[in-house]
Amino acid sequence: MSADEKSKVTDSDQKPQKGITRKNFLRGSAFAVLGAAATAASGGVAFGDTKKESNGKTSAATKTHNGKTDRSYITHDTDVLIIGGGIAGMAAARQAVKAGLNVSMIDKGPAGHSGGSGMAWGHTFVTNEFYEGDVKNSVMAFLVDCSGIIDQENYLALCKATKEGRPIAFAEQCGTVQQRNDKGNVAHMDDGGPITFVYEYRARHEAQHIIHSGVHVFDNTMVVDILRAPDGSVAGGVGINLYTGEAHVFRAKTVVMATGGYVWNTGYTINGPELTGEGHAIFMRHGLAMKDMEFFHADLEAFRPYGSRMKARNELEPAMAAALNGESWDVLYNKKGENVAKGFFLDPKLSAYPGAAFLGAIITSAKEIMHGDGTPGDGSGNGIMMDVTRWYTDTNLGDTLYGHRLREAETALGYKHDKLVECIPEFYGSCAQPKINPHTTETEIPGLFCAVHNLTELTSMISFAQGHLAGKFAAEKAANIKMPAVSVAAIQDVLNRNYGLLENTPSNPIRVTEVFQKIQDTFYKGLSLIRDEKGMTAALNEFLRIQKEDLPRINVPYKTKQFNRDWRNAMEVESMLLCSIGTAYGSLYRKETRPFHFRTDYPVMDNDNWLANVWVKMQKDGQWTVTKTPIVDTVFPAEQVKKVLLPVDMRVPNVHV
Amino acid sequence: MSTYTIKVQRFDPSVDKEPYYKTYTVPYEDKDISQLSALKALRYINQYIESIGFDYNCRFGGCGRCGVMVDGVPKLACFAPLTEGKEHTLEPLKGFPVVRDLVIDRSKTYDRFLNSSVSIKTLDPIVKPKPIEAKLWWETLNPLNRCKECMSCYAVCTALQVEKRWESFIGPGAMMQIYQRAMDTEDKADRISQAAFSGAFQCVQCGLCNTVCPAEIPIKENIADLQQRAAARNLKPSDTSAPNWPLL
Repeated sequence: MSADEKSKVTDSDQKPQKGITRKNFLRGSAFAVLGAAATAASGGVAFGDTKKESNGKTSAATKTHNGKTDRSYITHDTDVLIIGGGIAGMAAARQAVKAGLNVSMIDKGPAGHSGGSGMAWGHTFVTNEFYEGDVKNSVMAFLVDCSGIIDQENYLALCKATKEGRPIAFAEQCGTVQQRNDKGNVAHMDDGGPITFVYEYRARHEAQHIIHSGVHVFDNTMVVDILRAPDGSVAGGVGINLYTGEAHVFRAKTVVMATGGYVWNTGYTINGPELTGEGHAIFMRHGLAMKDMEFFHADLEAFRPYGSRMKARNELEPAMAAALNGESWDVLYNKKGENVAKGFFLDPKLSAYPGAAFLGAIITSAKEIMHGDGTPGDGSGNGIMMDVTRWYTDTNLGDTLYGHRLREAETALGYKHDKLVECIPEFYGSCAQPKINPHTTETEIPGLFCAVHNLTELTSMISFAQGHLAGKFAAEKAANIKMPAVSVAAIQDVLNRNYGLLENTPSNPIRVTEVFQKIQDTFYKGLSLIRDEKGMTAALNEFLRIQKEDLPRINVPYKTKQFNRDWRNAMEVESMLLCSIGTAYGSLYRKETRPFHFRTDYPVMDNDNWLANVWVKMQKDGQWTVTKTPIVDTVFPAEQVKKVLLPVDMRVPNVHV
Repeated sequence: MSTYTIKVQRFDPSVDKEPYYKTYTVPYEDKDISQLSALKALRYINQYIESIGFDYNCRFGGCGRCGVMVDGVPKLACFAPLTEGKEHTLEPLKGFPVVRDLVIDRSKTYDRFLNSSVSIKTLDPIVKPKPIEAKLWWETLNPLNRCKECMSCYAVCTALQVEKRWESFIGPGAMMQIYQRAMDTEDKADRISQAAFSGAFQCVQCGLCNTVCPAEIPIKENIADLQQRAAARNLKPSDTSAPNWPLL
């Protein structure tokens, strides 16, 4: 391809834009592209040139003479664009770099420190790279863990990809030294199971390696949309630097979406505030149906002493981030003081699959809550109680992360926990995926590959494997195609939408933080671990009301482009809302209990009707449709799947061992 | 209901001439059962009073993103308890360019982490992690793993902040990455030489880094160990107050 062809920018958008002619767009953007460097350098007004508004607040320095925020942007040309810098994004970047391509990565937070990777700063990583048996056995482990509804064809490819990519060996090569057992071996490496836990994985060393290896990392940069070529294939993406407000346009042959999940919506999560679902919202806005939105992975965490809620929402109590862990699940008690999860690891049926045993602990906790022996999160001391004291004394207690945190917190905060702590269910991963080619992860949008959170609660390995496959095949495709044309009108449309949120001065303003909190509250009230039709319907109606009434009122009071949290939240809030609405529709549709979707009105797992995937789609007119399809059972037939799944019947109170 | 007084340094470099301070009052209900951390206070201000520039992710001492100066001392905001009745001052980490309010651009020191080349240098790729003596992992390598790249050690480093040895000293955090590899039985690169040429002797052994490291890494002692091992190999410059060469 010649340089001229490569740099060709065409306006393929046939829709006239409101109030602005296509000619203006072209002229303006050509200037913007050419003048990008100069504009960036002289973007702000000179120091001291600020004006005080009548309300006493300083006006923004970023408005141009016509009152609009500067719409210039910086253009980057890359073979593969990776959106998201966590475990999946880094695995994708590694494969694309290995193929010798130009790779750009945008990451919403600081490199190596954002989204789920914040949690990954001492992470229990799951892998099958040490397993020498039939890879189908690893698929079976995930099948049990995910209550039977994984895409088996895809998971077979993912289990093979993990063996090929060797995440633990690679992390070790990048400089992480993972937890050793008494013999000096990586914990559980020699256990011989189809999947094994490895402790103390760190994302930070791998992030350093990825930058070293030549991936062009644009961190603190939030994706706001993808770009499409005239034939519908992907043509790049648009990001906004959250530190400076500058827009970056990436022209790319292929794009890997690795934005994690949307658990920040849920109100209570161990995960980070980056996870507001931009990737999923982009999928939905571009017409892709989403699968299994009703599912989230849950755990029990203490957010404040005794689980009491804080008004500012979601303040994880640092001293008590004591998640359940493989060797210590007998630390859970109900309000009667009975141990609710003891003995899980003595049951050979459960201990064969680590995910299933974890699931067992969550199911039994959910039962306690449902039957009134645990009332989560009200601060009354009636929730599921956790004994965290063992973390202080037993340094060999599985993953050492939580023990370290407790000891570090003890030093920093000066208090130590000597009694049981009340925990509440929290969500740490969402599960929704668009339809993909199970072998390559390519979506129905040609060139757009998917590596967002998948169905498993054993997220690390699957995120890695999705990234591995997505990066590998995105690179393979990029190596064989020309740079697609991008639509300048589409770029301007994206910028107008997002800078418009900053400029907006609605007549009946509502601060975005208020809307943010309403969504989180509504989600936790109606769509937490224990659900019913009434609560979910109320949540859905409230989401739809917020969408109709509150979104147009959103106001960003202070107008700077410089690290403006409110503006960032305003850009996030529509994504949160679309993901929440999709979750509500999917959850209402699935009329059964299947972990982690526990319904009091349909308390039994119903494999005859619901061993199926639920698809939620936002139509062009804004209406939503929900359908279901049978599971993909190409590795283990559905009849066999039904036999291996743990039966789930929430009507039966837990039997305490 | 308890109330806390917090003075926050505010600065939007795109419009403000100089940083300025603004004082906020934050109510807190749960004093008896918990503590108001600087991060909780900042989240309260941002949610209920006005938009403010601060950064965080994990809220439990893991991600290293919420580092700020609390009453002049670098701390993770989530691990910084506040006291009722005292006026606390929150400022951005010392010595870094301010993006907005308490948010800093950490690239100048993050680049040093990158330049320390923390990946293990092996002649053949690691296909399966090698055994490490359990004592070595638990006592030395794991504490080094727990560095959060929060940059607190850089904000107090006498060699950098007072002696201005930025040209010749890679700094405490990045030096710990070199130390981790120096202690690593698999790494085949000459890390003692790397430590010497990254300015190990530029460290003045003041030990302030130890006092602020949220991961409790014994940075001072580890650098002293590197200095000793380098000296044993005749890699100690004759005048340790002058930078050795090549730099970094």
